[in-house]
Amino acid sequence: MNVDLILETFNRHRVKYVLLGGMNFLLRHAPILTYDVDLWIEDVLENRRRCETALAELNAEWGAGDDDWTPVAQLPTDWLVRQAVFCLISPAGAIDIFRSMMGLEDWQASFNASIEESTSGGVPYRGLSDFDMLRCQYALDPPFQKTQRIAVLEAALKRTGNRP
Amino acid sequence: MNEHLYKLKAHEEAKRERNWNPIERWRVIQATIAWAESQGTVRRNTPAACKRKEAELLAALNRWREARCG
Repeated sequence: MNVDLILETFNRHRVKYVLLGGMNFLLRHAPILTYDVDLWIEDVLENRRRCETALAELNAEWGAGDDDWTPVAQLPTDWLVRQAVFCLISPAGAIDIFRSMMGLEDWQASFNASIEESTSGGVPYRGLSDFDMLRCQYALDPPFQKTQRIAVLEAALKRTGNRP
Repeated sequence: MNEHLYKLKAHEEAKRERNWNPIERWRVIQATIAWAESQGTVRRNTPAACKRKEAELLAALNRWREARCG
């Protein structure tokens, strides 16, 4: 399974991350299909290095522009420091790496609140909590908010007695 | 900060689209759909899921018929 491979590779390289976005929502709540794996990584040097290694093993590709699109294995070390978000391709699927997140200020706090889950293939991962997923949605401008996702998250939090 | 991230994300996604071989992209989409369908929240091709959907559709059809008949 392609998403399992991405998560398993990140786990094996001990990358500290939280799965968020549509894939996290699909795994926990509802089958709204998404085509990329969004990973918010702890933004420290050693973790960025581990992430770079994992992405290289996945044969991921990225470029600062169209002219220098290349396998990430060929990029200089700590290329992930260049910007806050990276959209990569890989044979296993599209991968988005976030060093910072709209609506969430503290990676460690979100990691501590994240939910330990496993895919159907048995691959463990940490998924952003419903509370934080909703905060991310609220941080978006209204045209970009996913109303169905917000409704499902609000209902889930209401059932558990939590409020963002 | 948010506006910067918006623009960066949009720029990155557009760049990825331009650099992704369309055949490879389609293969990945199909593999992702297959993977998603194997997950717990996405069980469409099971007898239980079919019966649930069937019951919902029949209930909706009955409601529509009752509404028509007054």
